[in-house]
Amino acid sequence: MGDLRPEAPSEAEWIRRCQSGNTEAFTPLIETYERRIFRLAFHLVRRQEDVEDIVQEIFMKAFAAISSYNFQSAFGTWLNRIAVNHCYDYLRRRRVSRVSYFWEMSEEGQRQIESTARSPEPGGLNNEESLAVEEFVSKLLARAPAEDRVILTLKEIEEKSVEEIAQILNLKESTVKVRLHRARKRMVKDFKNWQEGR
Amino acid sequence: MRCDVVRERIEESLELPARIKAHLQACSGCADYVRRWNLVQAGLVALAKEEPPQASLGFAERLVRRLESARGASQRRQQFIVEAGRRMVYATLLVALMLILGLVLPSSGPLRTPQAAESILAEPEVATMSPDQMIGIPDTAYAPEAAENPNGAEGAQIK
Repeated sequence: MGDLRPEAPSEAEWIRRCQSGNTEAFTPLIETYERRIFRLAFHLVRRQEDVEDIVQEIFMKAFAAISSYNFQSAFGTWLNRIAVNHCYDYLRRRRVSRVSYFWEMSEEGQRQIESTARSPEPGGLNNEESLAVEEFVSKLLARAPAEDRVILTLKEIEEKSVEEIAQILNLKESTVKVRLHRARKRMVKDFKNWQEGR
Repeated sequence: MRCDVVRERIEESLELPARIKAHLQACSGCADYVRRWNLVQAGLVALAKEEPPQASLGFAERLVRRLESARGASQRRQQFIVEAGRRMVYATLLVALMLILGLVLPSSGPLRTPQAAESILAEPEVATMSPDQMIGIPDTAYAPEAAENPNGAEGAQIK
């Protein structure tokens, strides 16, 4: 005998219900994408205390705009786009001046970065070195312009392909490649400035 | 090979072709760039491993409740706008109606008494007469008093 249990509505069905104004139908969508959006928002803004509020605002915006979702791209990509735009605005609002110095690293951390930078292969870092490098790069990122930060996070931390990034940011793939190279170059330049200015 | 081409290739691939390796051995600027970039990349990889905070308990339910209350508020706002708009339309219509009536009806009020109305209907040329003439008061009826009274004919009529 066949299984008579009613089949759970598909994602598209939940989306259609949301589009007709059913707020309850948004719950399964939140539950499906919550982890992913938390991760993305955390990596983009890197402020543990603000992440939950930011994610809540992202979902609020998504629900308000859900009637404009036309099923052309995956719902996850559409949601990522809203999340990235929201975080981008947040970063621009909260941006620390590039002039202000943030190098409050410990002496030990600074020494480790220096010695690691001089070694030919930073691949085999020990735990302490790895932590120092992580802290250092986190500060480099915090200081980077919002545009660089978003594109580097999507590529290097979220490991999205150039094609996915182009979809999320609504850009051509060639533009994404150019911006990625520019962002990487700026990070390396900031690193060099730090080494020279220390 | 140009340095900027080499640097772009370095960022994109882990396996470097022999030409680029040869360039790196000859160019200290690019070799420094590679070392720095590798370190930045190592830091980014370490950042990727950081676990994001967990959503607090009941996150989805709270969010849906917030959505519902926001929806209710927006519906109330919409209703208010619709109601205010409707009242504006009614008020405009009323004003327009009053204006039309003001333009259509004679300003001197010839229809105030039935006799006047009859006389108007009987003699159309009476429309050029003064209001006093229309209701049958001769011009001289209060002329002497009017001359004495600086408030004019109206004041005399009240007396």
